[in-house]
Amino acid sequence: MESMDDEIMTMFVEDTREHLGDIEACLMDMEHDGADIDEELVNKVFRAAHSIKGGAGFLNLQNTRDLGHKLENVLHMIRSREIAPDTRVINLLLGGFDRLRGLVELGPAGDAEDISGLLAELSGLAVEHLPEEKKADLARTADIALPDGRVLFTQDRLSLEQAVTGGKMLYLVEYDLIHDVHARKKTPLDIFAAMEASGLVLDCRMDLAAVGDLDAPPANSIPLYVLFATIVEPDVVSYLFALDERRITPVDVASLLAGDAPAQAPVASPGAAPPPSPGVQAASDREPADPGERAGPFRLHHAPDHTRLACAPDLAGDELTGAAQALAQALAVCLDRGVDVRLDFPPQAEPGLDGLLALVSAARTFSARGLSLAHAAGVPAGLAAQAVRAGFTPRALAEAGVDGGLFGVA
Amino acid sequence: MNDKGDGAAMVLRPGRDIVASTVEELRGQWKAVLTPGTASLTVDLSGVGMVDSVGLGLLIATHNSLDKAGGRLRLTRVGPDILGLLRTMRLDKHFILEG
Repeated sequence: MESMDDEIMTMFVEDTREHLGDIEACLMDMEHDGADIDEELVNKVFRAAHSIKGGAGFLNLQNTRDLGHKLENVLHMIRSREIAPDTRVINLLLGGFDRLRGLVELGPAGDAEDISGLLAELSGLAVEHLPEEKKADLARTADIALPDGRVLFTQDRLSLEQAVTGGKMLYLVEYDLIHDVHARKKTPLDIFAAMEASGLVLDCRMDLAAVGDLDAPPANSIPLYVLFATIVEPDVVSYLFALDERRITPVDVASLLAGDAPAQAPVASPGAAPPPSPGVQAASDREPADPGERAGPFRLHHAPDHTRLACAPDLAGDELTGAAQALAQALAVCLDRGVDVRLDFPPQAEPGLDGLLALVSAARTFSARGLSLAHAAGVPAGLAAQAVRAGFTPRALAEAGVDGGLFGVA
Repeated sequence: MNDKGDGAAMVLRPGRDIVASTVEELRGQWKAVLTPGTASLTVDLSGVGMVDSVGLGLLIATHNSLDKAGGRLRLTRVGPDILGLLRTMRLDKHFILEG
C-alpha cells in the first residue's frame, strides 16, 4: 500500500500543478468581470479548488483539504452571486491559492504549517456575505446526543445543514481506542485516514477523564466519539470501520433542523434511506424522462432492469475531473432507489482522483446492497489509465472489497 | 534524555515511538520527574514517528496529572502526521502543540 500511496501523492502533485497552472490569470479575469461574473470561468476555478480538496482528503493532507474547502466555499458564493469578486476578494483568493500550491508541494509536511489566520480570513469573508437567515443559523445550535441522552456535540445549524448536502448522512461513531483500535493492531491514524477517505470528520471528542492520570493504572478503555458525514450507508459504515452497528448512531439531521431548539438529536432508524440530494431531486422534477433525468452534469436514463448514468451533452469527458461530487450525488440517488447502474462515459473520460474515490466508495455500497455498478460498454480508456497511474491494482481493490473490472485493472 | 531547566520547566525527550511496547517504561520515567505541584511539562517529540492508542493514553494521563496542578502539557517538534492526528482528535484544545 505504501508504494500505491506514493504514486497517488505524485499524481496528486502533478494534477494540482495542472489545475493551478493558469489560476492567477483566471482570478484576474474574474476581478475584471466584477459582479457580472462569467459562470464558466468561476466554475473552472471552483473545480480546481474542489478537486484539490478531494485529493487532499483522500491523502489525509489536512491543511490542504481545509484550505481547499474554504476557497471552494468562497467560490461557491461567488458563483451563486452572494459575493462580488472585487479586488479585496480576489487578492484573498490569490493568496489562498498560492498558499494551497505551496502546501501541496510540501506534501505531508504541509500539515505542520500554521494556516489558521488564512482560514479565519476566508471564513470571515464567507460569513460576512451570508444571507441574514443563514447568519442566524450560525448563531443557533443543536445538541447531538447518544441514544442514552448524553449530549456529546453541539453544532451550529448551518454546519449541520452543509454536512448532509449531496445525499450525505451523519453518524455519531463511538470508538474505544484500546479495544476497537489497538487490540485490532490498528492505530488512531489508520482509522482517521479511513474516515477522511470516505467522508468528513465534523467534530471529535475524547473522554479524557476516563483515562485517569499517571498515578492510576494504565487505561483499559479510551473512549473516542466522532461526528462523521459520508454518503456511505449505515451497514457499510459498520463494515468499513469494523465496528458493531450499535456503536454507530445515525443522526436524523432533518428532524434536528426542523425542531426549533431540540435538546437532543433524533436518531434515524438504522438502514433508513439517505435523503436524496435536494439539487438532484429538484432537477428531476423539472425534466421529462425522455432526454434522461437531470442529475447535475449527468443524466439518468431509466431502463426496466437498470439505470444508465451518462454525461450530459455539454459535459466533455475531460471535464469529469471536478464533477466527482456531482457523480457521487447521482450515484447516491440511484442507491436510494435501489437500481443497478450502468456508467456510460466517453472513452476519454477522466474522473480524477476524487472521482476514482467516489467510484470506489459507491462500488462498495452497491455491492453491500446487492446492486450492480458497471460500465455500459467497455471501461473508458481515460478512466483506466488514471486508475493505473493512481496505483490501483487488482489486489488493492480486492482488499477494499471492490471489483477491479470497474477500473479496468481486473 | 530529560532536562530540568531553572526548576520551572521540564523537558522530556523520549526519542522513540510512544507505543505499547515503550509506554510502560516511559510512564515510569515521566511519573518519576513529575513531582507534586509540577505545572509545566514539555515533551519534545523529535525522533517520535508514531503514537499509537496506548501512547495517546500516556499523553492524556500526563495531561490529567498536570491539569490537577493547573498546568498544561506542551508537545514540541511534533511531526506532521502526529500533529494532524492530534488536531483532528481536537487534542489541541487540551495540549499546547508546536510543529
